[in-house]
Amino acid sequence: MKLSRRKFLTLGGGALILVLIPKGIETSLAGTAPETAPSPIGDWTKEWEKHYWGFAVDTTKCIGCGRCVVACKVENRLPPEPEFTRTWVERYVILEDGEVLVDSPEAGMHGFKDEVANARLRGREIRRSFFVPKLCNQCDDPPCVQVCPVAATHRTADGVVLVDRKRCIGCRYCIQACPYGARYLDPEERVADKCTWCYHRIAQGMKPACVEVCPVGARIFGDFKDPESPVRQVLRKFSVGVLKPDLGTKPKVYYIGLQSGVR
Amino acid sequence: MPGFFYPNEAELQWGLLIVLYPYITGLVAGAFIVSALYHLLKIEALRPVSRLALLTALGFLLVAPLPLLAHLGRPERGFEIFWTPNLSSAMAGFGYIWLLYLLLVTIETWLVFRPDIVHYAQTRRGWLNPIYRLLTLGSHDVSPATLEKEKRLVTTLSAIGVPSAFLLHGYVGFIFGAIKANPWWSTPLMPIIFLVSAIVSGIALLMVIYLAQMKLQRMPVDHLCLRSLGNWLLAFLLADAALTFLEMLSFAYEQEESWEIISQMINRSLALQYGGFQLLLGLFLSVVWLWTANTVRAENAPRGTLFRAVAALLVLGGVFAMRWNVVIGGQLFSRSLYGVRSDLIFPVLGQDGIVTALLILALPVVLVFLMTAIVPPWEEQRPAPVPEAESPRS
Amino acid sequence: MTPHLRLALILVVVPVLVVIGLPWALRGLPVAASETYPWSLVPRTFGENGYYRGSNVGEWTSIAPRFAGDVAVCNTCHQGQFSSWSGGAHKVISCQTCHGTRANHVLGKPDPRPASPELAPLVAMPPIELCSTCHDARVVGRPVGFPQVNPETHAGKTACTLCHSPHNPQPGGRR
Ligand code: HEC
Ligand code: HEC
Ligand code: HEC
Ligand code: HEC
Repeated sequence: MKLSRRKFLTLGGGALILVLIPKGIETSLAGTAPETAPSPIGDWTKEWEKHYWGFAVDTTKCIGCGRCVVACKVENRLPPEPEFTRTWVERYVILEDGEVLVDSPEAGMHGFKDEVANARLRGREIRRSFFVPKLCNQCDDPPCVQVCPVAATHRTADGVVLVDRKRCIGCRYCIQACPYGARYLDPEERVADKCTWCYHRIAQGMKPACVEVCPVGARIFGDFKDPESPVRQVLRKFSVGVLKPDLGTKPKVYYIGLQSGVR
Repeated sequence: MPGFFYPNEAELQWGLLIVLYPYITGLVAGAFIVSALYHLLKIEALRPVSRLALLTALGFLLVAPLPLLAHLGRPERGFEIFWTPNLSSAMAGFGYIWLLYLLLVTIETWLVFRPDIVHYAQTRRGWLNPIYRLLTLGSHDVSPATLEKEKRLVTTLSAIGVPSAFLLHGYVGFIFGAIKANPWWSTPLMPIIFLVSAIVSGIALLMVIYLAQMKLQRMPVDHLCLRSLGNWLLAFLLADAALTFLEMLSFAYEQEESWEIISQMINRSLALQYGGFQLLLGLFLSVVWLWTANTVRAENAPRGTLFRAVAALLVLGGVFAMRWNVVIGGQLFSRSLYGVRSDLIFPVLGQDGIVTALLILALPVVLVFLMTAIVPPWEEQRPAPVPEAESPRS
Repeated sequence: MTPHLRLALILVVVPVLVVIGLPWALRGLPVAASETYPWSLVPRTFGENGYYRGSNVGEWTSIAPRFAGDVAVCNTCHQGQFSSWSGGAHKVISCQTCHGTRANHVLGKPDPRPASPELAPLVAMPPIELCSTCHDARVVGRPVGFPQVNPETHAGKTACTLCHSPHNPQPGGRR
C-alpha cells in the first residue's frame, strides 16, 4: 500500500491525539478553497430547482483515448496519480470461451497500450471488446450520503452528490459504501472526494470537462428538465442500462450498449 | 494475476486500526457480560472475577474510540459526530451509544468499588490518599442500608448494561453488515456473529488477565472459577462455530454472483487467516482444549486451568483473526468482482501503522493493571465489612 | 437517592450535555459567525437547504473553470485554424482536447500549466504518439468503423502531421 503524503508519521497512542488536534486545527484554519472566481451565477440555490442533471455514456463509441481522465484531473485540480481519480475508463475483452478480461491501466489516463491485452489474450479468439468510461453515478438513492456519519456529503436539489471538504472527517465509510468505487480519500487534505459532474461548470451552463474533451461524443450530458437536452434524446432513442441496478441505488449515469458482465 | 480492481481501490481504506476497533469493543462487551452473569444470574463461581470484569470492561471501553479516532483523515473534526450526527448513518450512533455505555459502566464500577474506596480513603496514607478521597465524592456512607440500596442499583444497571453491551457491539457488526456494496460484509448475520464472538473474546480475555494477575501477585488461582469461565466460553464458542458455519454455508450454497470471487479469496488470500487461525486454532482447537480440560480430575485442577489458559489464548488470537478476516478480507477483492489480491503491505510506522496499533492495544491492558493496583478487585483484598453489615453473599 | 450518588450523576451527565448541547446553543451567535470548524462547531448555515452545511454549495459553484465552455469563441482570433477545423473530420473534437485548458486564454490571460507532465495536453506529445492516442489500430477494443491505422506500417517514422493537418486530417485537407 502506498502511504504518500501522510502528515503524521511516527506518532502513536496518546501522543498521537495530542499532536493531531493542534495540527489539524492549524490546517483547518489554513483554508481549503481552491482558486475561485467571483461566481457569475450568484446564489445557485435560488436556481437549482429548475434543473435536474443526467448523464449518458455510449459504450459503442468510446475509443479509450483517456483524455476525459486527464481533463478531469486538470479541471478539478486532482492529484496526478491514477489511484485517486474521479473518472476512469475500463476495457472489457470478452473471449469466445466466455472469460471476461478487464483492465484499466493507470485508470486509462494514458489510453490503452496494446501489449498488455495481447499478452493476456495469447492468441485466444475475442468475441467482443469495448471500453466503459466510469464516473460517479450521482445516485438518486446514494449509499454514500446514507452512511456519512456527520452529514458532510449531501445531495443537491438538482441531483448531484457533493462532499463538504471542510466538514468531512475522513472516516472512509462512504468510500466503502460506494458500490462503484467512485470515491477515494484525497491524499492531500485527507477528506473523501469524488466526481461532481463538474458542478461549477454545469451551474454556469457549461458541460463537464470530460464531456467537453470527448472526441467521439461517448459522454453525453444534459438536463432532464429541458426537453431538448441530449440525455432526454438518448433515453428516448436507445435502450440503456445502469450499473448494478439490483443494489437499489438508482444511478443516473445511463449506459448505451451496456453489456452484461460490466460491473 | 490479481485481476481487475477499480483504480480507487488500490489504496487500502480500512487498515489495522479498524481491525482493532471491533476487537476492542468486543472485549468490552464480553467482559461486561461476565460481570452481568454474576450480578444478574448470581453465578457464584464467577464471584472472584466479577469485579475484575468490570474494571476490564471499563479499561477497554475507555480506549474503544481511540482506533477509530486515530484512523480518521481529520481526527480533529471527530467531535462533529456528536454535534451533527447523520441519523441515517450506521456509524453516527456509535458516539452516543459509546458515551451512554461509558456512563453506565463508570457508575456501576464506582458503586461496586465504593466500599473499598471509602475504606482506602480512611486507611491508606501517602500520595494515593487524595485520589481515594476524590473518588469517594465526599461521602463515607457505607452503612448496610446504603450498600443494600446500591447493590440493588448495581443489579439494575447490569440489567440495563447487558442489552447496551449487545447494542454497542451488535451495532459495530451492523456498521459492516449494512454495506450492501460489499457482499462479504452485507449479511444480516453480521451483528449476531460479531456479538457472539465478542462474548467469546471477552471471557477469554478475562481468563488471561485473571491468571496473569494471580501469577504476578503470587496469589492462589480459584480453579472452580476458571472451570466455570471455561464452560461459559465453551458454550459461546459452540454458538460461534454454528454461526460461522451457517454463514459460510449460505454463502457457498446460494452461489450468488459474488461467490466465485469470495471463494477465491478464502482459498488464496485468506487461507491462513481464515482456515488456519480463525477456524482451526480459534474455534476447533480451543474447543478441544476446553473439552479435555473438563475431563481432568478434580485433584489435577491446575492442569485443567492450564488447558483452559491455552484455549483462552487461542480464542483471543482466533477472534482477532476473525476481525481481520472481516475488515481486511472485505477489501481483498474488488467490488467489480473481477479481482482478488493478497499482496497488501501494512506500514510499520505512521498514523495507522503496526506500532500505533500495538500501542492502542497495549493501552487498555495498562489501564486495567493500573486500576487493579488502585482498587484491587481480588477477594483476598476486600476490606473487612463494616461490623454490622451483612455478608454481601446473602 | 443518596447525595453522593446524585453528585456522581451530575458529574457525569452535565459535561456530556454541555459538550453535545453547547455547539447548537452557540450557533448563530456572533462568536460562531464563521462557517468552519473550529470557530463554529455547528456552522451557521447548517440545515439551510437540508441536513448539511448550506454554504458548501456555493463553495463548489465558485470554483473557476479551466476549460473554456464553448470553442466557438476561438473563431474570433483563430479564423484560419477554425475554418479548416470546421471543414474536416476533426470538427467533432474540441480544440481543447488537443490544446488543453483555454478558459483563461480566451480572456487574454495565461492558462495555468498542468500540475504534472502526466497531465500535459496532447499537443505536448510528438506527432506520432499524439495521433496514435486515438488512431492506433493495434489497440484492442475500439469500435469497428473508427478510422485507424497501424502507425508502423502506415507511416513508419514519418510524422503524421507531414501528410495530415491536425485540424483537417483528410489527406490533402486545407491546413
Ligand atoms: C482574444 C483572442 C483569442 C481568442 C478568443 C483565442 N485565442 Fe488563441 N491565441 C491568441 C493569440 C493572440 C495567440 C498568440 C500569442 C500566444 O501564443 O499566446 C494565440 C495562440 C494560440 C495558440 C498557439 C500558442 C499556444 O499556446 O499553443 C493556440 C493553440 C490557441 N491560441 C488556441 C486557442 C483556442 C483553442 C481558443 C478557443 C478556446 C483560442 N485560442 C481563443 C488569441 C486568442
Ligand atoms: C487533433 C488535435 C487538434 C485539434 C482538435 C485542434 N488542434 Fe490546433 N493544433 C494541433 C497541433 C498538433 C498543432 C501543431 C501544428 C503543427 O505542428 O503543425 C496545432 C496548432 C494550432 C495553433 C498554432 C498555430 C499553428 O498552426 O502552429 C493554433 C492557433 C491552433 N492549433 C488552434 C486550434 C483551434 C482554434 C482549434 C479548434 C477549432 C484547434 N486548434 C484544434 C492539434 C489540434
Ligand atoms: C482525441 C482523439 C484524436 C486524435 C488525437 C486525433 N484524431 Fe484523427 N480523428 C478522430 C476522430 C474522432 C475522427 C473522426 C472519425 C469519424 O469520422 O468517425 C478522426 C478522423 C481522422 C481522419 C479522417 C479519417 C477518415 O477516413 O475520415 C484522419 C486522417 C485522422 N483523423 C488523422 C489524424 C491525425 C494525423 C492525427 C494526429 C495529428 C489525429 N487524427 C489525431 C480522433 C482523433
Ligand atoms: C506519407 C504520408 C502519410 C503519413 C506520414 C501518414 N499518413 Fe495517414 N494517410 C495517408 C494517406 C495518403 C491516406 C489516405 C489513403 C489511405 O486510406 O491509406 C491516409 C489515411 C489515414 C487515415 C484514414 C484511414 C482510413 O481508414 O480511413 C488515418 C486514420 C491516418 N492516415 C492516420 C495517420 C497517422 C496516425 C499517422 C501517423 C502515425 C499518419 N496517418 C501518417 C498518408 C500519410
